[in-house]
Parts: sequence; structure tokens; C-alpha cells
Amino acid sequence: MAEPLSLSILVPALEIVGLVKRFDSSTAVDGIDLVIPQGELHALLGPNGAGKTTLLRIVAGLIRADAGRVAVLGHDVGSHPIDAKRVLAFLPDDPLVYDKLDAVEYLEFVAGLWGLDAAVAAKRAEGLLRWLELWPKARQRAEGYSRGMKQKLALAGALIHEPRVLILDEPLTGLDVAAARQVKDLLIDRVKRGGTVILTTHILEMAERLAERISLIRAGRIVAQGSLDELRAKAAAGSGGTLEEVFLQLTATPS
Amino acid sequence: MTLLRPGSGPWLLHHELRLAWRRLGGVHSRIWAGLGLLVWLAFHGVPYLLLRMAGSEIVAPGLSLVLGAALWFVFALMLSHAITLAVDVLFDRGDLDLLLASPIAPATVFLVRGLGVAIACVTLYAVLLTPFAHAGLATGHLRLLAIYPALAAMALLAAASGMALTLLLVRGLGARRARTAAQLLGAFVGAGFFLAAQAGSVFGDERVASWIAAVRHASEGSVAAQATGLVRLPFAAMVGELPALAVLVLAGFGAFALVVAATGRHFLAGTQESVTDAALAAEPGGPVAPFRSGLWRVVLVKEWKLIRRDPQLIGQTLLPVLYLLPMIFIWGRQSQGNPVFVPAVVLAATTLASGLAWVTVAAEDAPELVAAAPVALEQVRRIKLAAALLPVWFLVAPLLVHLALGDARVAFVFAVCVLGSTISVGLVHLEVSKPGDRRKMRRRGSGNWLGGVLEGAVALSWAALAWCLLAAPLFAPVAAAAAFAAPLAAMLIGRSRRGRASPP
Repeated sequence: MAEPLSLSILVPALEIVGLVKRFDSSTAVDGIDLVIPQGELHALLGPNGAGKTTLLRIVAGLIRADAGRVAVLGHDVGSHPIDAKRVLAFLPDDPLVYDKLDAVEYLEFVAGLWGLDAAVAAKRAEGLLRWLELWPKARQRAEGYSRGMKQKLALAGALIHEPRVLILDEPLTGLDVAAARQVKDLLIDRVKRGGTVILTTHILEMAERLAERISLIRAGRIVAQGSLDELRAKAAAGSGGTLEEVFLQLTATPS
Repeated sequence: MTLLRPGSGPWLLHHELRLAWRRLGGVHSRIWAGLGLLVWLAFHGVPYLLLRMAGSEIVAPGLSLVLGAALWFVFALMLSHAITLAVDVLFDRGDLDLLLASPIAPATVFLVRGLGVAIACVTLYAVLLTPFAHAGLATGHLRLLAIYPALAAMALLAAASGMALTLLLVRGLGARRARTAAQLLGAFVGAGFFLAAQAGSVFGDERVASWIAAVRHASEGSVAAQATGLVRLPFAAMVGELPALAVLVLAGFGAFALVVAATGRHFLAGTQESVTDAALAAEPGGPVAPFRSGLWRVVLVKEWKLIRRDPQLIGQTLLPVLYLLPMIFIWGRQSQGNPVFVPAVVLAATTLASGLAWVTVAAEDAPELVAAAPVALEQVRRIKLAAALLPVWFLVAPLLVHLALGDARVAFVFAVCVLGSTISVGLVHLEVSKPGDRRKMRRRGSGNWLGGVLEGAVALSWAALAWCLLAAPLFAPVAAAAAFAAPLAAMLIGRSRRGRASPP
């Protein structure tokens, strides 16, 4: 972060070249190229089993790709995984919070994992917990939390080290209307302040409203990419087509 | 506090141990720990006296072979424990995503995981054995300090073997089935050593004695000498024989380093994901079978299908029975008249019936659906109970035939007690079980101590009744009273609870 802003802004937040991941029986990611500049909110859309989660897990350094290259803010995930992870937060769709830790202890642990200064972490933890309305229950063990509260706590964990690139897999599952709204506002706010947000979602309305660019993924490949208008044009669904129509048309299995 | 710098290995290990500690106990864990510490300190007296009496030669040479074998048995128990723990920390706990996504080297993460397993499976034995090292310090047997490195090496070897076996199972079977297989493997390792320890009763003491004599006689030969050396190796290491200690430490630390490195590679290659993927993909389509009707039929079929398709559940239900199997096997081989055989089978059948009844009666996945259906809830619950008891009766039927061919009286007692105890334990579940989640089978006892007590009372009193009827008929009325009291108590408690729950 010591590097001058004018130079660092040119480095893409995420750069993926020729990424391939095969499992025994199938190819989950089949040659994906993707460049996401800093300060963009990018949505990955695709049917179940399209390879979205595998793609995100490779970016987060949880599994290793068979071929291709991934760089987060210029840090190669394959050769310099620690540098890449330092600027990144990954929130899985069903995140784990420790049942036997309370909210403050959980955030203290996550902050420790990212090597944050304890005083800074404590201040941020309180801010996040207050903002997410978890503060009254902050000293209760998470085993007593509802699903939505656990989800919020995991989100706080993802934000505590102020990642420059935030990756979320289905971020709104299990959240009530108010919390979902909070998360959406937060994502927009982060992007405004120069952060980068990459998310997968099934909620098309969310992608339609928030995302500047959308990548449609099917069978491990990106089949279409661009702003909503560009996708509409590609699908020739007419200018009034909703993302749902565009989505169904572009991801339909050719029969 | 520099040692516990956030993000460092020791800091992560502290986190790991804190979680283990909290999972272990509730509010009173500190009190228990304090009491445990006092007992442990008091226990130092035993080795101190023993070592004061012993001369410079700590034990007779012949005894070292026996103690070595005992330590191998300890190792088997550690391994069994390590397998269960490895499944938990590598697959069940689910926090590896968080740890691996953080800027901490994956090697550190898996090193700490492995150390956590090693520490957890050595704790009990360290409590029992380290006092010997301390007493050795006080009595001038300094070589006994080798207990520390030797125990550490054994624990690391157990953790490494446990993790390696778990990963092999995952590669072969997929993450879900591997969990069950690992649990069963762990239980078999324990039960197998128990069986081996019982070799005397299985094969007859004379024959085993003659084998031992043969081994002793042959131990002048080089192969047998090596075998003897291997058996007494852990003991030799603990009393500070340098070659043995070196071998054990090298094996323990070496295996641990290799397995920890392999585990990291395995996870980053995404092996577990691929296997889980493949298992999910194999869902063949086909014509829909004709629907069934009739309440009895649909409930029985549904319960049996759900149990059959959940190998983890089957494993956990059978686990307590598995520990009883060696005993049943041993006593079954002896004369028909062994009065312990029938009670042991009654105990095993009751345990099995209790587990299954909990699954079918208490752990309904969709209680609202069943309650909303236009059928009497009590009838559905009775059918569910039948779904639990019928398989148990089916399993013990061959034994009944076997007994009937020998002695009709024994067979009659067996039939009455198995029927009585399984139905009684079923009644207990009908009346006092609390709704539960079948994924939490292992912790089903928590929060319902009354049910647990009644279950135990049923199993023990019916087993006691079986024993009395066969061996001490004079006490049979007492046992019979106890055997009927437990289900009766359950029914009364259930009735009063229902009365309170739904005022007229």
C-alpha cells in the first residue's frame, strides 16, 4: 500500500488467464479468462454447478488450479499466495463461525489470522458489530445465534481487515430484508471508495441493480460478459428485457 | 507474549486447544480441571513408592516384554482416537476454508491441526505416565525422563497414521462415507486389541502359553529376536535405552512431517471436492416405482430407507454394539451354559434398539409434516417404534435358534429378556425422548438426562434379570421388579408431561 496510487490503480484487482481445474470425473473450470479492474462491482451469474464456486475457491487460494494464472492486485496466487491472501477476503456461501467462540473472540481470531494490530482490530470489531446490530449479543457464544446472525458475524470477519478485494459467494442467503439492504449498501459504499467486489448470486435483481459488469458462466466457461445493456444486446432480447430473460436465454443448454 | 504473536503457529495452536477445551466441558470445566490436577499430583505417590522399592534395574527383563505389549495397546487406542479426531478436524469442523484463505502458510495450518490431534490423543496417557518420569527424577532414575520424548513420538506417530488413514479413506470412498468408515476403523482397532488381549479365553490359556514359550525358545533366532525387540521397543524407549528411543523418535517425528506435508498437498489439489462431486453426480434417472399406500407400510418403508441411506447413522448406532461383540464372541464359543452370554446379548440388543428408536421416534426430520397429517400422532409413533425394533429382533433371531438347539430354557429366557428390554427401551423413547437432530446422534444424551438414566436402567435391569434367571433364580424377582419399574416410570412421567402440556 506504500506504492503511489496513480500506478497501483492500473493494476487490475483480479486477472485470470486460461484457468483450468479438472476433477476426476469432470472439468469444473474450462479455460476462463477474466480481468476485473479496481473499483468495480462484478457479478458472476450462472446455473447451479457452472463452476462459479470452484473459480472463487481457486482465487481465494483454497484449491490449486491445473493450468492458468490468477493474480490478485498483481500478486500471483500460485507463486505468492500469502501476498494475494493479505489483500483479499473470501466469504463462502455457508461460512463457518465457531459455535464455542463469541462474536468478539471470533473477530479477534480472524484479525489475528490477518496479522492486524490488536488495538486497531478491537476498535474495528466494535464498529462492525454495532453497525450489524450484533453488539448487544457480542459476548454470547455463537451457538445461540440465528442463521442470519452467524451470516452477519462471518461478514464482519471478512471486513475486519479492510480487504481491497472482497469476494462473496451468495452473500444474501439467510439474511432478512433489513440486513440484505445493509449488505447491499455496504458493497456499493466499498466500491465508491475504490474497493473491488466480486460476487456470485442467484438473486438476479441484485446483479441487475448493483453490478457494473456481469459474467455469465456455464459449464466452466464464460459465455457472455459486459454491462446489462451489452448482455441484452447480445441476447437480442430487446431493450426492455429483464436480466432474467437474458440469463435464461444465454445460459440455456443448446438442444 | 511474543510467542503468541497473532498469526504465528503457537497462537494458532492456542486457538485450537481453546476450542477443544470449550467443547469438552461446560461451566464446571474449571472445577473438574482443578480436581483432576489434585488427583494427578496425588497419583505421583504410586510411582514414587514403586521406584523407591526397585533397585537400579527398574523391572525384570521378562516383564519388559509384557509392558512393551501394553504400550502397543496404548498406541492402538491412541490411533483409534486419532482417526476419529482427524475426521473431525479435517472434514467436520469446516473452518479450513477460513484458515486457508488467510495469509498464514498452509503448512503451518496443517502442522497445527496435526499437533492438535497428537496432543488430544496423548493427554490421558501423559497424565498416567509422566508421574513416573517425575518420580524417577526424585529417586535417581534419571533415564525415565525419556518418557517425555517417547510419549511425544508415540502421539505423533498415532496422529500421522490416523490422518493418513483418514485421507486414504476419503480418496477411496468420498468425504461422507469416509467419516463412517473412519469411525468404524477406529472402533475396530480398539476392539481388535481387546480381542487380542482376550486371546487366552478364546484359544485356551495352555495353547497361548505354549505359543509364548515357543517364541521365547525361538528368540535366539534372529527373526524372532527382531520381533521381540519390536514388541518391547516402546518400553525400552521409555526407560531410556538410546537405540530404541532414537528409532521411536525418528519414526514419530518423521512420519508426522511427511503426513502433514501430504495433507496440505491433498487439500490444495481439491481431492476431497472431486470425490464429493462424483458421489453427487451418480444419481441415475429411471422410471418412477409405483407408489405404496397404507400407513404402516409407508412409515416403515420411509424409516428404513432413511436409515439405510445414512451410513454415518448406521455406524454410530452400531458403534456401542461393536464394543460388545468381542465379549459375545468369546463367551459364545465357550460352553452353552455360560451365564454371561445371554445378558451380554440382551445388553447389546437393547443398546442397538435404543439407538434406532431414538432415530425413528425422536429424530424425525419433518415433525411438522407428520403432526399436520390427518392421522393419529400416537399411531405414527408406534409404527416408528416398530421400525426400530423389527430389525433388532431380526438380527438376534439366528442366536435364538442357536440357543434353542442347545437348551430350550436358555432360549426361552433369551427370547423373553430381549423382547422385554427392547420394548421397554422403546417405551422410554416414546414417553420421554426429546425431539432431536439425527446429525447430532453422538450428543443425543445431552439435555435429556432423565431419558439417559431410564435407558441405562432398562438395559442393565433386563440384562441382570437374564443373568438371575439363568444363574441365581433366587434374585430374579428383584431384577424383574427393576426391569418393569423403568418403563413404568417412563410412562408415568410421559403421562404427567402430556397432562401439563395440554390442559383439557
